[in-house]
Amino acid sequence: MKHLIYIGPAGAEYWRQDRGGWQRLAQAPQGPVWAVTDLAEESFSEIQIPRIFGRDRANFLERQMAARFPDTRYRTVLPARGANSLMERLAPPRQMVVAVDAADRIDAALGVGDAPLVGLWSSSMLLATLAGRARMPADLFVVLPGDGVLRIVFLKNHQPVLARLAPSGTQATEQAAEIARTLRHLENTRVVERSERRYPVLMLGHAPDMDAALAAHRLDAVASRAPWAKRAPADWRFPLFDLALTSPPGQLAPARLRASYLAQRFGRFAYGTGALCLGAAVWATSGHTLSAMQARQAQAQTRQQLQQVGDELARTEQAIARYGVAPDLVRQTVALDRQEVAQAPGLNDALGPMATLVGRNPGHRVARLDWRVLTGAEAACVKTPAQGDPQTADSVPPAPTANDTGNPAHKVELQLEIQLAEGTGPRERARVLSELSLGLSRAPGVSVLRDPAKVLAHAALSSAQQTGTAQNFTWCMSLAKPVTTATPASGVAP
Amino acid sequence: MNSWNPVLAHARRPLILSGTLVALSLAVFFASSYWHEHVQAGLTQAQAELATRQAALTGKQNDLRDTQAHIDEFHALEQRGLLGRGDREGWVEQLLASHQRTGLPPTLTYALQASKPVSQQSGPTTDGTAQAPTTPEDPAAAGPRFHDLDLTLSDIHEEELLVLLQDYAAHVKGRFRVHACSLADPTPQGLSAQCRLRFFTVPLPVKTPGTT
Repeated sequence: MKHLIYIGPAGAEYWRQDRGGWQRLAQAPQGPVWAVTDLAEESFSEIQIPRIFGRDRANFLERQMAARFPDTRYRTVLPARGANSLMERLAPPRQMVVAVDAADRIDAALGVGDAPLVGLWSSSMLLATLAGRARMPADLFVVLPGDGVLRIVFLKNHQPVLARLAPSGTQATEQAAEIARTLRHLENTRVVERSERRYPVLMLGHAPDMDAALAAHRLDAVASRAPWAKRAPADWRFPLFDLALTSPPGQLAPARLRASYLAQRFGRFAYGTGALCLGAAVWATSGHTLSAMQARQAQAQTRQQLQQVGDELARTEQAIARYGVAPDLVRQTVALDRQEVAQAPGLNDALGPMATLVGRNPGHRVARLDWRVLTGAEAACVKTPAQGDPQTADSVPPAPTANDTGNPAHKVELQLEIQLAEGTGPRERARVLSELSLGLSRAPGVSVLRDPAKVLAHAALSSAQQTGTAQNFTWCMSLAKPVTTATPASGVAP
Repeated sequence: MNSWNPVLAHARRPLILSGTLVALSLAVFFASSYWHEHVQAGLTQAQAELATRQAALTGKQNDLRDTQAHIDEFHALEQRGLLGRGDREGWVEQLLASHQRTGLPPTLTYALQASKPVSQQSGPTTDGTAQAPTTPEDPAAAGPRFHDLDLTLSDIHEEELLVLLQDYAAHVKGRFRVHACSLADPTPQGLSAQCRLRFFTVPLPVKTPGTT
């Protein structure tokens, strides 16, 4: 249910709207109340405004309204219409002011009861709003007959420019004449141009033969498509009341009078905001709470696992301690033995094949044998050749061949010097050297890096090499023993 | 703003209440957020601790596995004299004993060099003899060490040398390899042999007072 105060010439009336429509009340209502005036002091005024903005503009309008309507606080600026450009939209050069210059009567009517005031609207403004909503012509008279009076509002370019409450009879001719008189006033005050133009008139309830009466004054009645145009209400004020309940533009009461209602609305908004914030906080908190509880559960499980791992760690340490020796010492000892002793080639690995090979050629003997284990990144056969050994003086040890495999620490450098028998001829010498080279290269793990047989194939032949002196030839080889097992240092059991 | 003061005065209670609700909401939100972060931090810390301890357990299990796999070999090497400072005097005595057992000519000379860290291993000089002594190392220093035993024999055949070395390896309490050998100067009586035997030792850890 909504309540309304109608402030007319005869005083205040209280109305209530329910399902049955508008019902008049005997006393002031308690709930929020809308107020509508129907007084002769309702008026419109145009203010011209320079191109100013913001607070300057607001202050200017306030001063203009105070200057034009100094005795009433029931005044307001209407929204501008018909802007042609952005600048006109931002700072309209003209704006209409609506006011009711009957502050005492309004105060007296509103002072009854403690009902919160929603707002105050004038009938003239409501009529103008009705005409605007009904898609009427730009220039239009809107007329509401009353009890012995006629409220006339003239709209120019959809903006109300004139409102008057004139005494009038109930005859159509009287009402038409009053409207025509208003038109003459507008022409005289140059609000409209004097011409033969026929102005439309929207009548809210009228006497019979109104159309003909208007036509006699070059006025045309227009019909509205609003619902109340099809079926006349019991009281033509009811459409205004219905419009007022929508709180349209043109509200006149200052904020001080509406404080209670505005505070209620603001309070609801504040409560709503607070409730929304609380709901959002609860929602977010529930997410945090759920996540935190899951995290606590996970933490408990983790602590349990921690305990189990700790127990297992203690058992493992005890098992290690029972051996009475540090694992690092075990690994280090076994790795050292494997890398440095067990995996190292033995001297008999070289002497055996050498002896067999040389033994096939009686008369030739081993003059020298140098056997040494290479360590680190040491390369085999990189020493300068011995003095007086022309066969090897120009030779350069080749790069390690594909036979060079395994860990370099397990390689052996083997230098073998063979002394051929005296009187060995070139052909026999070549054969013996080739046979020895071939036999050495076929020995397992051997890479011949310096081969006198290859050098001799391109060397000079002379008689001094043949007779009277022993001939010595030196081979340099690398001997590798492949690694067969992983060492414990890698942590992998053999 | 003056025209709105009466409105605000009327709306004082809702404003205060909604302000309280908003403040309460913020407090609840930040408190729950803080609690959530605190619990998450605790979980992260526990998980990190668990990962660390699991890594430690894995390391210990590897240690146990290696120990179980190689303990017999370790004890055998311990018996063979690989652990400790090395029985250097015994090595020399056993060399003389092996020389006597194999009946070789009395031409044996020997020199047992000071021990050095295994990381300083390098080849012998060109004549096969030992390198010049360097600054004495601290025998108690941690880490494996090697000891070079240089021996020379003359008028010896290759097979006799091999027999001597095999007998020595079978009787000496120590682990060594033949690091270098040079056989030269052939005569009807035999060759001159210069060999370097490299012994290896792993010092036992030094126990500090008060530890088990």
